[in-house]
Amino acid sequence: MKSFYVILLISITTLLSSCFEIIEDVSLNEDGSGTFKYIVNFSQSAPKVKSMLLMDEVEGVAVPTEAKMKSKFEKICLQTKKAKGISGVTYKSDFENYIFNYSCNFKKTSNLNAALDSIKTSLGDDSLGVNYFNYSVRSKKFKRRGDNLIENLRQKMSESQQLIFSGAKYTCLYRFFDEISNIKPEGSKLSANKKTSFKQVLMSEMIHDGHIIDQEIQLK
Amino acid sequence: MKSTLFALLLIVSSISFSQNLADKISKKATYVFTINGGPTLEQVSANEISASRVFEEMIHEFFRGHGKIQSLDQMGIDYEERIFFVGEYQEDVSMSYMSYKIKDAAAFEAMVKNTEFETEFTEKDGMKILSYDSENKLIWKDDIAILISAYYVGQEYNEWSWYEDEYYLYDEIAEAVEEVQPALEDMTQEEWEAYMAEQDKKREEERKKREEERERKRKEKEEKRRKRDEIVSNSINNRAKTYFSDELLNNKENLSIDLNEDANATFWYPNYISFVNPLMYGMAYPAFGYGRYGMFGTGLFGMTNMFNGEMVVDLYLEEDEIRMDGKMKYFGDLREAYSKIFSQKINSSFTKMISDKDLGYTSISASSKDFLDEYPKVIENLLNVYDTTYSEEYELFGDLFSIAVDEEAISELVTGDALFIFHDMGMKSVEYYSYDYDENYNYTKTLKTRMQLVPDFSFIFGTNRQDIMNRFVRLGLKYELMEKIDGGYMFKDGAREFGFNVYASVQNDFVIFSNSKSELKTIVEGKVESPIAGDKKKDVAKNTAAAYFNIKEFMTEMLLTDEIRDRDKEFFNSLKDDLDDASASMHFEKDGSVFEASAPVPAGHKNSSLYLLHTIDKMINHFDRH
Repeated sequence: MKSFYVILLISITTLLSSCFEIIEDVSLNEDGSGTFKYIVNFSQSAPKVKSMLLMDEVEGVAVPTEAKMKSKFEKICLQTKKAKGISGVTYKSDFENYIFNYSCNFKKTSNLNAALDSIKTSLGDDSLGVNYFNYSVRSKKFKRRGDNLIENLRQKMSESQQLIFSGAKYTCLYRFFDEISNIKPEGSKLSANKKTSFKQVLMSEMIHDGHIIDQEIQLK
Repeated sequence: MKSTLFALLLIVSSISFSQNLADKISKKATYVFTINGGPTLEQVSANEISASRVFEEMIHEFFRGHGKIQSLDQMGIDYEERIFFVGEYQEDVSMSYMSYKIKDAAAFEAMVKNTEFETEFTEKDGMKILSYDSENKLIWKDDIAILISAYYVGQEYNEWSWYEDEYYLYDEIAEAVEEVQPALEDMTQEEWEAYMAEQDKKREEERKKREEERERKRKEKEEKRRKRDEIVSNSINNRAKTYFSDELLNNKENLSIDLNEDANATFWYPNYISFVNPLMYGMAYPAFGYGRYGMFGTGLFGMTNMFNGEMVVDLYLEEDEIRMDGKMKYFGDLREAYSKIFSQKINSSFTKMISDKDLGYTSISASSKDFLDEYPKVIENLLNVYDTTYSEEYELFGDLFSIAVDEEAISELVTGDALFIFHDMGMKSVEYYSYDYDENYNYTKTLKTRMQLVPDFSFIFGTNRQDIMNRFVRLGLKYELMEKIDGGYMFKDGAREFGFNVYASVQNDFVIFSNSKSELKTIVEGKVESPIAGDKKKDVAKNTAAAYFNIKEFMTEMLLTDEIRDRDKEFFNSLKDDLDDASASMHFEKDGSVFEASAPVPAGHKNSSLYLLHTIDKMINHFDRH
């Protein structure tokens, strides 16, 4: 019965768009230290994810077990614990709603970049050295640079697999100790207290251009 | 899609019977599909085919956009003869070919020269050979042509291992780095910088090591590919030589199949492939998947062993319906076993559970007692039919099975009657978490609801042991896995496990599971509105298995949701009126299983051949626009 239903559900849901959200939340202190939070929320697609996890494979791609996913997630999170300048690493995987949380404190944005690079290395990605986050204490300027990690992933996916990005959102939240005077390029929103920038992009656009989240934020 | 179109085009483009092409099929064949265009061309003319988008697309695909063919006649192929599609296994090579008769050699050779792959063909041993690549060759001699595609399936030069090595390489390196990681938090800035420099150096060394390994693997892969190409190419040449000789016929190594001349197409399939290597997963991977991801039940004790036999399916494209008739003759003692297993009819009360409004259903009735009685015998007998290599293992398994299983008791618990009903496509409220932001973009996790398209279904199976089933329920309640609802019980973890609630109820002679509380209650109370009648009821009641699917209604309900992308919605909307319903049934006769499947031709279409042609044309037009 389970197999029959899963086949039926998969057949139906492959026609439908998916939905998930990623929130990248960086809080920066005056000395350049800060907190990094990352949330991947598949809750809205949980029924679909659940039905897929009941399969051995979907479209020829092996589906990992819940235990394997949890172990991989923990391994990645623990890896950042060892990085220089990174502390207070916490992570949580919620396999009921498919929400994954990660957060850490960093001394400098370069520490955070190195930690992210260590994750990429463990995943076999040699394209290191991207200055994802950069904050100059002297000029009070924050820079975010995207990369083509997701675009590279997309290129390995079939058209139907890419449907997973349809309707998905990527949110960039950057919180500062002082007010923001300018954000480039346009398109970000400013909080009421003018200390937080908010930018939300569609993953369907991001998979074609990872630099869509690039921005420069000048503080007063 | 393209290959399907090509095959479908060929369905409507050949005529008559050719004994000599059928004689050239080897006993090693794993499937045979043949198209008999005679009856088809009574419904659709060659001109109508030539003018169709299907034909245009096929020519475009076949000649990669460089073809100058505008009609069937220009191809030089004798579409008044049968066309054969055959699969064969040879040592380390899997082969499939398409063979057909040439009507006009000059036109045919002009056509094949149109391709961009290679305009010149070679001649050897009286055969003309056009090599597209090492795995695909078109070979013709006199008035017969054969297009052979083959690929390597052996182990020695297999390419999969290369990817696995590459994958494990990363893991090994990652583990190695982890082992030597010092306590970074205690380092001074200088120590940290020195450490980072060391790490960079290591990383660079690892990168180089990976590069070197990649290069070694690349060369190894290249050599393997060369070997594979050589094996495959020789295999194709040898098969072609045999094909154009009478060797198979003279040595009685040809396959003998009775082809029905009234059928538009015939498919023959002997399901003895799992015998080839029964201790491993079945080799039927082109149909069922591959390796560990193959369909469950293949291998030594797999359920697929219960389906070993020879299957013949005839397709009839009639004026008012598309129909398939099939027969399956079982190998060894399976025939006798199945005559017992399929001797029972479904519990008549099951037919009252299906409403005429349901989108679809599948029913089966097989005697579980006879199945369990016969299964060990079948297993023991299986390999004696073709091979005795593993007969000892099979015999042991059969004996152990008989000892371990109390057939009588199990058949009381599960009678063998089962019914799956696909009621409806309903919009259901589904809860999920998202994040709400305040004016300073502080966020809070919030429980929200949204409507989602979920199929309503029920699964019912027969039992004569309500007492045991009720004990299961009591345990479920005791351990708080279930809770009581009106008419049955709800599994508390259903939503978490499956993404929807699961309800169950135990009745006198059946157990029902459903994801719809109301459908469960309706069935349990025997209040199903407009239960199926007439042919539908007869199909379920009188056959071993029956299935029905209202494609048009299903499509209509699917289109009600906004979840379908606009692009797809437009397509399905346009296709909806060209679809109707489809039904199938299976029963057992003296020689084996007999099954029938049919789909009526929707109103407004002259006949099924033209209906198929027009529907596929419509699909092509849609895909062209997107």
